[in-house]
Amino acid sequence: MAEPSVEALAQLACLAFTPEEKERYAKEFPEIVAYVGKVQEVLGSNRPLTSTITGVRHIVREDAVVSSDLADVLLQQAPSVERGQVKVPVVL
Amino acid sequence: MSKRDSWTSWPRVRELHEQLARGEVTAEALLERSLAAIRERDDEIGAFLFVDVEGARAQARAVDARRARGETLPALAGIPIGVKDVICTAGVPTTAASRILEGFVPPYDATVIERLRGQGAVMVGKTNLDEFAMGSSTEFSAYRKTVNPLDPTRVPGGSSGGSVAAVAAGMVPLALGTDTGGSIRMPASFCGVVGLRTTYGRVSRYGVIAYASSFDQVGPVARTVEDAALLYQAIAGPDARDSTTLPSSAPAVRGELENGVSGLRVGFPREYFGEGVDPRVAAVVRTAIEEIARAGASVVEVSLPLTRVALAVYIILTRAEASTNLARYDGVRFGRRVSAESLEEIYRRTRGTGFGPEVKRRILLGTFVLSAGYADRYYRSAATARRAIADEFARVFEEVDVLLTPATPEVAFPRGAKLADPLVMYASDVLSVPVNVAGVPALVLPCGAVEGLPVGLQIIAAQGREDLAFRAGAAYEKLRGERN
Repeated sequence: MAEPSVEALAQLACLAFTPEEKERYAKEFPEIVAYVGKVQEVLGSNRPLTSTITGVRHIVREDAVVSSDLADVLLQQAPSVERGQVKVPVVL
Repeated sequence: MSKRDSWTSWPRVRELHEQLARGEVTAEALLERSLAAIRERDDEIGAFLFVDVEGARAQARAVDARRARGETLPALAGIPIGVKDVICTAGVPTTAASRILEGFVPPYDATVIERLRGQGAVMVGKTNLDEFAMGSSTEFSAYRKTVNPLDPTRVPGGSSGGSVAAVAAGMVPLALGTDTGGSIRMPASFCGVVGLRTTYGRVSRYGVIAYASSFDQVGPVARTVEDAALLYQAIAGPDARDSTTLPSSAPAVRGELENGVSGLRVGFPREYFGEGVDPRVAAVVRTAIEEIARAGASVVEVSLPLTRVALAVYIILTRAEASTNLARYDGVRFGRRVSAESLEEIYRRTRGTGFGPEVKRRILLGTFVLSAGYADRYYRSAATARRAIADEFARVFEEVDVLLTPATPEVAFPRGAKLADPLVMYASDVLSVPVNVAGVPALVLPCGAVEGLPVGLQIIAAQGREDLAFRAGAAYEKLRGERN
């Protein structure tokens, strides 16, 4: 199976590239992928796959309702706001 | 007199605290000393992205008012501290050294900042880093270059180059960095200061701009082991807002600093002293190990065969996590937005122009290793191998208390030397990343020099055992001090 092109990955990652960048990454990419491919040589641990390296898991807390002015504070961060909503170009 | 001697030379933090408590010095005076050092040196060194003069002065005045009221001051009250610009500070610009966050001012403090404010520490400003903490030289900052204070033609290391340079150059006695793949330890080694990578989960990541969520940790940068211990104790401990923090409180380490190495079981892994490591660096570190042996530690050679794949595991997993974490920078709710006709073009152009080349490189690779048809071969294999590496460390720690290794395979390299080939740059962290992969703690402190450039000794301990790393580090630091 041919590896996806830098172009295809850029689409997936929602990243625009200049032609020079595309050329550069197209050259580097196979080398990096070849290097990291060596992980396949490792026979894994007998322990099950886990995303937590320290064993800390399933930490939960109760939902607690508090009043907050966070919405206003966060809206102030947005590049474009109208009537208390973040404004973006039409989606559909 | 060398250039370095004329720099501000700070007393140890404990002594500063005592001077403050006795009223011999004010927090305002300490701050002014820090600001003067920054004014004098930072054009050349480039450690700071933002100096919060007014905010710091207000913090210092508040500490002096507390003392005037007769209150007992916490350990870090009035101490000037630099903060890596990947840690959110309310009301103070935070950029992650990226153009995509240009102008971003967080509306909240990270937990570590709240804890420092609680102590009355004085946060002087935000320090430079490789963009989004992705780099090993601080050459990938979108804003400015940081140089090695010991030799301005060389890099300070990265990604916490700004915090480390600020401490090494005497601008502040303490700083916070982050270490995802060596980003505190590697620059600490290059600049001759002390740095700590904690056990994963020891310090809260709430309010820390994420690079790789199962690797990132905030840690102290200082000139002495005791100073690092004080800052570590101020920030360590569980946080209800970060569910990956270790639930138990951090064991106190201050008491360990006097315990010496007699009876300590030390191992040195052969894979950290062989191919790829500058033999002169290896020799300096071996000398340090011999000194520790003479002081009463038992020393054995050990082996960590999976060291050879740790960098590959690290690259795959961190890039995967980064591609997910950086998806939030889309120009919609905060940060830079590049205007466009369609939402999709806003995403692509905002991210395309806002992220630097190394960040884009990592997002691309992360997207690849998570994509359909490749995730099993790369991401899943790496996650399995990660578990194996952690188990390998755990088995070795049944035989020894700490592992001693060089912190880096070489001393500080010249600026520009490693920009042509990404894999060459990544290899600078080959001795650092196994620690992050395994989730174990490691302390770095200076142990000598090669051609006048510092060599760092890395002390690795089992998960949760920062106390042993501090014990060994403090003991070695004392041996070195007595020798000199």
